[in-house]
Amino acid sequence: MGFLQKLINKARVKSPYVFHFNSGSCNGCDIEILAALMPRLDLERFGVKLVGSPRHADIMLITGPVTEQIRPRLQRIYEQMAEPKFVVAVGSCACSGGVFRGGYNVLGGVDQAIPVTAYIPGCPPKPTAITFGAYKLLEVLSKAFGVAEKKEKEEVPFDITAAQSEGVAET
Amino acid sequence: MMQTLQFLDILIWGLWVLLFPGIFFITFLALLWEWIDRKVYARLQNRIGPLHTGWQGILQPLMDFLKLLGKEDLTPKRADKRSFSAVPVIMLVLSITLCMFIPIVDMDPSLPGIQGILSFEGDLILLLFLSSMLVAVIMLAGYFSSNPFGQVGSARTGMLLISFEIPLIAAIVTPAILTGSLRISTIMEGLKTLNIPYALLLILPLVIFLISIQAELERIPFDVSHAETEIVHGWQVEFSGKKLALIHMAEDIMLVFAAGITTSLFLGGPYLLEFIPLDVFSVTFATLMQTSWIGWVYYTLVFMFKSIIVVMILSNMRTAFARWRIDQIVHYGWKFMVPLALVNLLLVQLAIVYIFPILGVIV
Repeated sequence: MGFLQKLINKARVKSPYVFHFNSGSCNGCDIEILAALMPRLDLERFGVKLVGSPRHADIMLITGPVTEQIRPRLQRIYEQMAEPKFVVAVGSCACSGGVFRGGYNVLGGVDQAIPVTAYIPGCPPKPTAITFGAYKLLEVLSKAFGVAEKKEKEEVPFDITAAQSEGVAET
Repeated sequence: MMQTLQFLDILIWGLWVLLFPGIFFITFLALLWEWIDRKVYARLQNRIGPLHTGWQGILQPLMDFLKLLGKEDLTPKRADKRSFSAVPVIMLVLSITLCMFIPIVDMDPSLPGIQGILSFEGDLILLLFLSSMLVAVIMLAGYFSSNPFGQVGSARTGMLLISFEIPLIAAIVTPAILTGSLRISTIMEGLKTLNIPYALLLILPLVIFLISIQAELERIPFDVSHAETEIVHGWQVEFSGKKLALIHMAEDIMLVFAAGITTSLFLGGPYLLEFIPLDVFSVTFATLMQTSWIGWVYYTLVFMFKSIIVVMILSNMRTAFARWRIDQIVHYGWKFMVPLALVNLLLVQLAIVYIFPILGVIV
C-alpha cells in the first residue's frame, strides 16, 4: 500500500460526511440524530458533517422501517452515492422493522433493501448510543482500511460500588 | 527588461508563484482559515468542533480535501460532460488568480511599498471583473449539471449577485477615491499616510463591504443558493469526488481572498507597528522591515493576524444570523444596501471636496 493510498484511507476514516434518509420513521430517531450533532455530544469532533446531497456523502444514516413504497427510492438514493459508501441503520425499525415488522406494507429492516454496515438499536436510540455507534463504525473502518492506531486503548473496568463511595454516581 | 531576465530569475519567479506568496501558501492559508472558521463557528454554538484530527483538529480541512480526492467521481447522464468537469477547474484557477493580487510581501523592490505577485495600474477593476466572473461560473455550474435543484440554486446565485455586487463595488471604490489610485499596492501605501479624519471615512464602507462579501461567498445569512434543507446544496448538488474537492478548495481560497482584500483595502495591509507615531517605529523599524529579510516574516505574520480577525468577524456573522429568504435578500439588498453604498459615496465626495477643506484638514 503506497503512502498516498494510506493517507487517503486515513482521510476516509477521519472525515465522514453523513447523509440522513428517512424511510418512513416516526421522527423520533431523526431528532436523536440531530441531538447527537448538537452541543452536548458534538459529533463534529470526529469530523462528521451533515450534508444534504447523497452525492457528497460517505455514510447514509437511515431511520425507520423500509416500506414497499420507499424501497425503489432508497435503492436509487443508495446508487447515487459515490464509492466508498457505508450505511448505518439507526433505531429498532431500521434494524429489523421494529413494531411494524410483518405489516402488509413493510419489507422489514434496511438490510432487506441495501447492504448495511452498522446497526444502532433502540427506540429511539439515545444520542450517546448514536455517538457510540458512529465511533465503533469509524474504528471498524480504520481496521478495514489498515490505518488503525497502533496503541490499543486500555479498557478501564467501571466499578459501580467504588464510584458510589466516591460520590460520582449520584452526581 | 526581457534581455536581463536570466534563467535564474525565471526560476526564482516560478518559485514565488508556486511556493511562497503563491499557490502553496494560499492553499495553506485556505485550509487554515477553514479550520479557524469551523472552530469559531462551533465554539460560538457551544460545541467543540473538529478535535481528533491533528492538534485540535487542525488537519480536518486537509483530510476532507484528501478524502474527496479519493472518492468515486460521478457525472450525471444528462449533464453536459465537458463543461461539467471544466467548471471546478475554472473556479479554482479564478480564485487562485484573485489571490495573486493580494499584496503580502514586497515582490518588486524597485517600487515603494508592498506589491502582490500580479500588480499593475488598474488591477482593482480586473479584480472586480474576475470576482464577478467567478459568480457567473457558479451559475453555469448549476445549469450544466441539469438537475432541477442545481438550476434553482443557480438562479438564486444570480439573484444574490445582482443584489450585492453594486454595494460591493461602491464600497471598494471608497479607498480608491481617498487615495486617488486604482492600484491595490498604491492604495495601501496611501492608506498608511492618511489623516485620521480621512481614515474614519473608511468605517462605513468597511461594514458595507463585509456584508456584501459575505453574500459573495454565499455564507449563512445569504446561503439561499445552497440551502441544504430545501434545495440540497443548490448548484453543488451533482458534484462529487474530485470535482467537489476542487469546489470546496475554491470556496476556501475565496475566503482567503475576501479576508486578504479587506486587510489590504480597509485595514492598512501588512503594517502594524508602523502606525505607532514614534520615530523608532514609523522610521527605523519600517526601514529595517523594508530592506531586510525579516520583513518577509513580519509582513506575512501581520497579514495573517489581520486576516484572521476578518475571518472571525465573518464566522460571527455566520453564527449570529439565520438564513434570509431570497425575497428578503433582494429587498434589503436593493432598498437598504445599495442606497447606503451610494450615500456613502456621496458622503465621501462631500467630505473630501467641501467639508474637510473648510475645516482645514489636509490629506
